[in-house]
Amino acid sequence: MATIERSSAPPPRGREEPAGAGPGLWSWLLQRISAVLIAFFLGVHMWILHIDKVGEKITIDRVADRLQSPWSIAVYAVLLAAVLYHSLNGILNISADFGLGARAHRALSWALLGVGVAGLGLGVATIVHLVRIFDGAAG
Amino acid sequence: MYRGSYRQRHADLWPTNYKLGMWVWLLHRVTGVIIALYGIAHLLVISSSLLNSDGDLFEDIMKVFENRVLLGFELALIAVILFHTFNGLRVILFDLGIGIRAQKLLFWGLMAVAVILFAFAADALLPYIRGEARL
Repeated sequence: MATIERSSAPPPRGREEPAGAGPGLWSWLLQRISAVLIAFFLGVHMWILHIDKVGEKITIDRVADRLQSPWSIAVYAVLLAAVLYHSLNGILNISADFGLGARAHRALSWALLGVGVAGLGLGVATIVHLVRIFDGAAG
Repeated sequence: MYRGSYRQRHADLWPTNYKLGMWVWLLHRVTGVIIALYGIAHLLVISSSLLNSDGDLFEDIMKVFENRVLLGFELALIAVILFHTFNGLRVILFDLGIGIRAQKLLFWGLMAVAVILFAFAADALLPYIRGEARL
């Protein structure tokens, strides 16, 4: 059996190194909840964008038109947040299996959180922009 | 103590000795990383609509994705996503204590559903990939 390499640096005082720098209970639960949300909403996304409209060009009007109902805005906001959480937390979980030490795990967690917040900001800005340009274009 | 070849001593780590579950576990992670990278690329492409308000740039970028090779990659991506989704469903069922004694049957049953859904996607996309239909 391979032994797991650990960071040689001592953990900060007062903080015990976790038994394995793996997912905690909340991370595990949220990973499952986000998975179910994505499975459902990605199905909705694929249906309304592609399956129901096979052969139609994707234009900015179609994309903006799709974001007119508050329900679809909610669907895309939830999908955006769930995909960001699930994918970035998944990368953290895979990295932890390579035997990251506690410090590297914490550093990676903060880095991925930064990517997630930036992605959420970019996604929300895009949704707001698409809602706005429809109002301007179609009147 | 150290008798036999590397392959004999590490028989449990040799890929040809992996059990189905090991391959599935590995494939779940590989597909997860692929989907995560696609998701980031997708967010960047769609958010390009922020750069101009009349949508010309966005529609020029969308034209790039009418390329047949890229459509082929999209069909492959659908296979990757369907595998990850339906295997993930098995993982969640396992965590809930459902079907633990019928893991293999459950896995292949869910893969059968994934294959059926993939057939719909292939049916829709293949004419465009082959160049028989154009947007």
